Amino acid sequence: MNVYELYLGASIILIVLGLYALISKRNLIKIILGLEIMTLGVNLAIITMGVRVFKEVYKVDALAQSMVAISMAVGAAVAALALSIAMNIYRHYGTFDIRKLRRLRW
Amino acid sequence: MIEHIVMIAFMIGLFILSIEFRNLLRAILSFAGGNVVLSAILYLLGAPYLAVFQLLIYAGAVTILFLVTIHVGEEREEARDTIFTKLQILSIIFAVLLIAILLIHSPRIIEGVKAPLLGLMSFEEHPEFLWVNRWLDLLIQAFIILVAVASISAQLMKERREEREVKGK
Repeated sequence: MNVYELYLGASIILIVLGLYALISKRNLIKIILGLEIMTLGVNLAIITMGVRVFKEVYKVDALAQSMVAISMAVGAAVAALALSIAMNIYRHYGTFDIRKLRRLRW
Repeated sequence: MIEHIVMIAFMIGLFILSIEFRNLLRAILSFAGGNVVLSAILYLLGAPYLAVFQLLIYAGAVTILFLVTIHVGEEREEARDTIFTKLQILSIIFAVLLIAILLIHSPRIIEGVKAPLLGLMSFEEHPEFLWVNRWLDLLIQAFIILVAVASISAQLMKERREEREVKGK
């Protein structure tokens, strides 16, 4: 097993884990955590595609690094927005449980 | 190769825990731990700057956002008439001192973060161009991580106190 297979496998596991959290969890915080884990999986896949091995020394392509740096900033912004929405939902409904959000009137 | 496999196993284990823990605080701490391991993986793969970003943005800033959100969620159920505790007074004194030190040293800091004069050059010849003089960013982010550690320990202390009170009753 080489490094590409290993890390691509790990990134796929992370994406599936995030998807599982998005589908099965009912707590808003857990859902946002799942979203972030999916983002991390995608970032890891991009990095893996940019890895170059020279005499057992690993280097990552500069383009892949810059893409992932931007993706990290965007991921943090998405988390901030989602958490602010979660906070508003808590203030309105008094719970993070999405089953209680049937009446979506503000 | 074995260190990569061990790191990946740790990371996936921590992320699974972060989804499966019922206690939100523990879930968020596991998420932060998974991010720390992921940043170590990025360092192993030869992307040290990304490792620093991962550590600062995800293990630092995003974790703080999560902690603040669950803290606000808890706050609603508590009485709001609590006076300042010793810890809060200490943290305020520490913050004021920190601001004073930063203000005193601000001319030197501004001098230090000025971009150097550079002639025509290509990024391929000087790939470090984007990363020189970034120490102030790193310093600020390090402070944010310090705040995160303090808030986590405060949350854990509060939780233990509540557990003790429940046992006492």
